[in-house]
Amino acid sequence: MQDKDFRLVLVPLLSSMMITAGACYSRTDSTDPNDEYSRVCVDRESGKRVEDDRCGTGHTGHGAGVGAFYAWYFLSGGGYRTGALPPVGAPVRGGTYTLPQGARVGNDPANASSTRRGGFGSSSRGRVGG
Amino acid sequence: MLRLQKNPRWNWKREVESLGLIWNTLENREPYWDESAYYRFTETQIEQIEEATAELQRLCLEAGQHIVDKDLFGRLGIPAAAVPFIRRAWDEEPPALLHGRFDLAYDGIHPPKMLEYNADTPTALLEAAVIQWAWKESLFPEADQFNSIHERLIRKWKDLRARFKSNVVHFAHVDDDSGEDTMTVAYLRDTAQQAGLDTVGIVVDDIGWDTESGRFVDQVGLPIDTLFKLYPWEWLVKEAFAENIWESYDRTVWLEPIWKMLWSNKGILAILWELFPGHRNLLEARLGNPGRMKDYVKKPLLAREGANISLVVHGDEVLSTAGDYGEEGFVYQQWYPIPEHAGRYPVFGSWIVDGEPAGLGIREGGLITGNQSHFVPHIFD
Repeated sequence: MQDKDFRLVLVPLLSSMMITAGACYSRTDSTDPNDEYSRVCVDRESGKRVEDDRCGTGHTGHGAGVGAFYAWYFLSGGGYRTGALPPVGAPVRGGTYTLPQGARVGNDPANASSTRRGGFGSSSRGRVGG
Repeated sequence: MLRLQKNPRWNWKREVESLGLIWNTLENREPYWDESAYYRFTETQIEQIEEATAELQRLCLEAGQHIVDKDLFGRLGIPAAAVPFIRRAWDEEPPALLHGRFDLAYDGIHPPKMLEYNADTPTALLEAAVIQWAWKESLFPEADQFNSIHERLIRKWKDLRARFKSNVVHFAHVDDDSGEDTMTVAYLRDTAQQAGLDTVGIVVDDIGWDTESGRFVDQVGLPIDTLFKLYPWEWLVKEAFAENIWESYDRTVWLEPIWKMLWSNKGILAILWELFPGHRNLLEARLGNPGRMKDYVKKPLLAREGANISLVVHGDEVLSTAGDYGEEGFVYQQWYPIPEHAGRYPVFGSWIVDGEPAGLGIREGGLITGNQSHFVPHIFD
C-alpha cells in the first residue's frame, strides 16, 4: 500500500484565489490595452501597498515564505512618473490584478527596450487540453 | 472489471476544490469529477493495463526511431524548420519528464487497445494523481489504486535538477478562464518544488524575447533557462517567436523536448501499425485514406479534445464533431466498439512518468471523448 504525502502549497493557494476572485489571469475587455499602466506590490489580504521587493521576481518555492501572498496591482496611467502612486501602507483601489492583454507597464524593468513580447500564445483558443 | 455506484461525499465539491480541482462541473451542470460511480478492477486487470502501457511505450520508442531514420517527418505534416531540432533532441536526449497519457480502450478481458498518445501536453493530471487518491483514502482506505504518479513526478524532478543549468524552472500556461491549465501547471510546480526546485509561473503570452542577450525572458526580464510548457509544440513552431526557438535552442531547456512532436502527432498510429501490424495493443491505422476499413474513426493528425473527428460505420458517417483542426491531414483508425457502462463510454488514461507506467485515470463520455466528459475514480483489490 502506497503512503502519499501531497504537501501541496501552490495548488490550494491558487485554487482559493481563483474561486473567490474568478480566473486569476482572465483578461479584462473594458480597458484600452494600449494604455500605460503603473504597478505596485500589494498584500492581497489587507489590500494595501507594500514594498516592491515583496513581489520580487515572482519566484516561489524553496525557501520562500508560505502564508503571505503578494501580487502586482496595476493602476492605469503613468503615475510612476508623476509620483501619483499610493504610498507604501496605503490601500489600493481603482486598478486591477489582471493586466489587459498587450498593455504596457511603464515601471516594469522587464519592459526594457530590447525585450519583445507577445510572440507566443496566438494559437490558443482558451485552454489547451490534451 | 465492475462499474459500481456510490453516493458522493456530501461535501465532495469542497473537498476536491480544496485540492485544486476548481473545474469540477461541466457546462450542463453535471459533475465533471463524478464520484457517483467508480471502477473496481482485479489486480490481474491492472497488471494487464500496466503491461500494455509499458509495451506501447516501447513500441513508440521504436516508431520514433523509425521516423527519424527514414525521414518520415513530412508524412506527419511536421514543419521542415522543426525537423533538424527534432533530430537533435531525439539523438541527444535533453532533460525530459518523459510523461504522457495513453488513451486506451479496454473491456476488462481483452488486451487494451491504444486509441492515441498524449505525449506533449497531457492533462487530467491533477484528477488522476491527487484527487482520486484523496477520494480513495476517504472512502476505501484499505483498497489500492493504480496510482504512483505523484511520487514518480517528484522523483523525476529530483533526477532532472542535477542536469538543469539553474535551480529555477519556469512553467508556462494559457490564460484559461476555467482554471484547468493554470491549476495543472500549479500542481506540476508543486511537484517540482517538493524536489527542491524554485518555480515561476508565466502566461504564455508574457514570455519575452530579449534581443540583446538572445534569450527568452520572463515577466520581470529574467532569462528563462528551463521552460515547462503546457502549450503544444505544433502551436509554438508556427507562432511569431518560432525563429527565436531555433536561435536560442542551445540556451533553453524545453519540457517536454521538441522530439515529443513525433508522438503527439496522431500519425504515429499509422507508423505503429506499419511497423507492428496485428499487435495485440494496436488498432489498424492508415494515413490519408481508410484503405479497406469499413468501420473507422477519422482523426486530424493534430487536434485536441475530440475536435474534428468522424466515426464511420459500414462506410457511413454516423457521428462527427466540429472544430478547426485538420490542416495537416488525417489518420484513419479502426473503430473499436468501446463497451458502454451506464450510457457512457470509458476511456482509460494510462499515465507514463519517466518512461514507465505510473497510474490510471478514467474518463467517461460519448462515443467521441470531448471536453464534456466525466472523470470517474477507481480502486483495485
